[in-house]
Amino acid sequence: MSDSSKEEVRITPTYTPIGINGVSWVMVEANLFEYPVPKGKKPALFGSLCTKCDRVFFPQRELCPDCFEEGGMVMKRLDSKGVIYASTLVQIPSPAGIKPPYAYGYVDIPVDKIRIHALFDGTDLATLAPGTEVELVIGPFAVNKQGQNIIGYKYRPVQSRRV
Amino acid sequence: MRNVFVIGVGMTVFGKHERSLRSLGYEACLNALKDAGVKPADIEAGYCGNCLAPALQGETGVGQHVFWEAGIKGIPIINVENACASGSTAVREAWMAISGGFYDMAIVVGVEKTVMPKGTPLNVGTGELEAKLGEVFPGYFAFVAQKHMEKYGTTREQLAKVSVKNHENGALNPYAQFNKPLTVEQVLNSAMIAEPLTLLSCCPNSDGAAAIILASAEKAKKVGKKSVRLAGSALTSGTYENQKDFTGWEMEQRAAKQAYEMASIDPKDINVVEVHDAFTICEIVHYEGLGLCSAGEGGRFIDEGHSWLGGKVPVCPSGGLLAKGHPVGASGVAQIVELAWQLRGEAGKRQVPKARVAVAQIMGGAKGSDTRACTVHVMIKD
Amino acid sequence: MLEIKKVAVLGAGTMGNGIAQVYAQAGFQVTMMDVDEGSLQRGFDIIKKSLGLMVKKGKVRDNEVSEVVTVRIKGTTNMKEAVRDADLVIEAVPEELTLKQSIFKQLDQMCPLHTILATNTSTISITAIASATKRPGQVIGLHFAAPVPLMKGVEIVRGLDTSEQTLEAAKKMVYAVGKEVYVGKDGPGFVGNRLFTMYLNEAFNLLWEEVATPEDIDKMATLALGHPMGPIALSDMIGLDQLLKGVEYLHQELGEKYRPSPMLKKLVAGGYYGRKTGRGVYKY
Repeated sequence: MSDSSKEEVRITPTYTPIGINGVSWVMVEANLFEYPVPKGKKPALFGSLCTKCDRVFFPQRELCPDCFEEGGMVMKRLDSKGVIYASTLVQIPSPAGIKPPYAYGYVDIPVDKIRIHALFDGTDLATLAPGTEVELVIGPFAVNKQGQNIIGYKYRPVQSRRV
Repeated sequence: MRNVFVIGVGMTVFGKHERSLRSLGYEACLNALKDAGVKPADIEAGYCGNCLAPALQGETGVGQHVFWEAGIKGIPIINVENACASGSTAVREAWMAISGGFYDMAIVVGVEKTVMPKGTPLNVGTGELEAKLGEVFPGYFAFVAQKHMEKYGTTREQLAKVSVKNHENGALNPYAQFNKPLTVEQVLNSAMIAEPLTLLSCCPNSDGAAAIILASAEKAKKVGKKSVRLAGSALTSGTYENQKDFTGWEMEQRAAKQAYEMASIDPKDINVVEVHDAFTICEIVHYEGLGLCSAGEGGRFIDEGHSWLGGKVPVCPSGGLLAKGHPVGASGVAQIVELAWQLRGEAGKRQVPKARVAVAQIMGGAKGSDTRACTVHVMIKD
Repeated sequence: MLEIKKVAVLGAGTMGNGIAQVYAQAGFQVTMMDVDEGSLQRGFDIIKKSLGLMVKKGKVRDNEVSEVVTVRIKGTTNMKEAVRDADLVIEAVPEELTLKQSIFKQLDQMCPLHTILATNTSTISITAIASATKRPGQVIGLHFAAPVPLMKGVEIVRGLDTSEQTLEAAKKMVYAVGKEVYVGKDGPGFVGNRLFTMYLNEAFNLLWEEVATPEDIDKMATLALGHPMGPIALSDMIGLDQLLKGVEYLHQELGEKYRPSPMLKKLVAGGYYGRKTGRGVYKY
């Protein structure tokens, strides 16, 4: 994941820890996505699909609020392409420990017809206007008090290729 | 269901206080009891609105502590939390209980301390995923501003005018945290918080308390002209529709409709309003949500002077959350206090002439891309 | 932006194999290098034994041991192959300035440009080691407390030119294996060894003056000082030859208070280096 800071250091072990308590990264929350993203696979967020009404939810949930049927939800990997719905550039420090300035907002995922909260890659709001096409990236976005990288997700504007 | 009346009101100055929650709450309660001419022993139930004491002061059970200072004890006391709508939800609870015939007189207090030591941001932790992923409170309203500007052409100047107007009103309010008027340039040039909301477009951290006494028609007779009818009360929560439009809050429109129906009024009957102007964009959207103007016309509404003192329907004559201050749990009750003064003709330099119908709207919390609670109250001077 | 994925450890001795083990456990791809197959094999054997103890304690599952030893640690006697795509190299060869300088000179040429070159030295000046390279900003001291799989402490020492980014990377790499950091100045012995060498050396003086038996000295340390291992047993484990080298270096730099104990000199002269030769003060 790109970051504007040249000084940043990222620790990215290949395997999961065995018998050791020090982990250089922690997930922001469990069950949101797979990390490290396996080679050759696209990063994806884990949502829930209601098999009755086809509505998609993120993060995953057990019951559809409308259909309310037990066992009616299955896990669905959300499509990685999105369109920015709203964005802002924050200049104050966030409780999450993200250093300002940073951008976040809401992303519509056309394939899954869902809008989700997300951080954005970059700090130029002009490149993050509503309507911008973005794609999902998964990786470290903040560091906790123990110096461990916190793994989360962001959306990055799709680089357009000029023909 | 019986009629319910506001028979006494009181509040502290909002701002930075060294005193404790209990001390502030006690002062407001005492002022309200004196205003109503009743004694602690007359109160049959107590409701306390507070949002952040457990997180910021490490205290719970604020209501019992505050009421005890005011000599109120033994009766049913309940602590109410609904984010910024804590105080107004407490008002609604008291209203329901009296309206339903359970009590004849109840006290409602809202109290909060959110002023932080210099340089320390207000941090109530990151329990929710969005907060862990960078969400900050002004951020949500920054999106609303962006979308409203995109859809309706609302301008930054129109947003700034909300702050200018409310600071002008605050200068006339001895209880307000800020007494200095501002210009549009000052608002726009203040430090950026979350694009496009600047520091002076956001309400401050504040300490303070406000209290009211509600009573049945029987008990209200004793205070005579001072009593004002609480004619409508509505509380809604969001439907959390996933891809809803950010340019309006349907739960606000729903709450307004319910409260107006209850009070048998139309938007055109409204003389004075207090809204949840935590951020300048909010007030613009509330003009539309409360039916003061149609969708998208909010910017024009303030441009044409309708919501200023002296205009068609003044909004936030007290200075609102922006200038009066926003001790979270207290604001909902403080709105009722201000509107009671307005309807009684006791609002001094900020008096709206011949005010007869008043509306208080406040909403709180964030959940997904919606808000958690919205209350609308209608007060009428019969 | 510096990304650290692969770790190379030079030296499969007591320190080297312990360092390789913890980084492999933590999930890094590790190469461990030593000058001959025998030393490499001994290193792997010690790692297997150490993991075996952890299986007994229930910290590691039985089937995970081979994952650590065969998949995550690749052994080689070829230094270039070991460090070819390493992001962090930790050198744990014998305590000799010229040897380390020669190794670092080669590392400078063999490693990718971004690689951080760390030395596990307990006494030798980081700045002196860094001077053998053209990247002194990326050279840093990373001294692990022994035995590495058990001890939580790591001493970080900055050379005169060590950069902030290198320091941050070193700290993060210590946390990544569940250990804690303390920072020392680049002077003889840094923090740990100035204290510790004097303590160990003095233990040998106690032996020389027949003040107490080695067993009692070790008992005192474990019972009264709360150390996991007494000074004599620990010295045998470190290697008396290594210890003597360290003492002599500090003696040279800091003076009389570090005069090597005659007992220590006698043992080393006799070839009794400790565990690795089957006999030190104790027999193994």
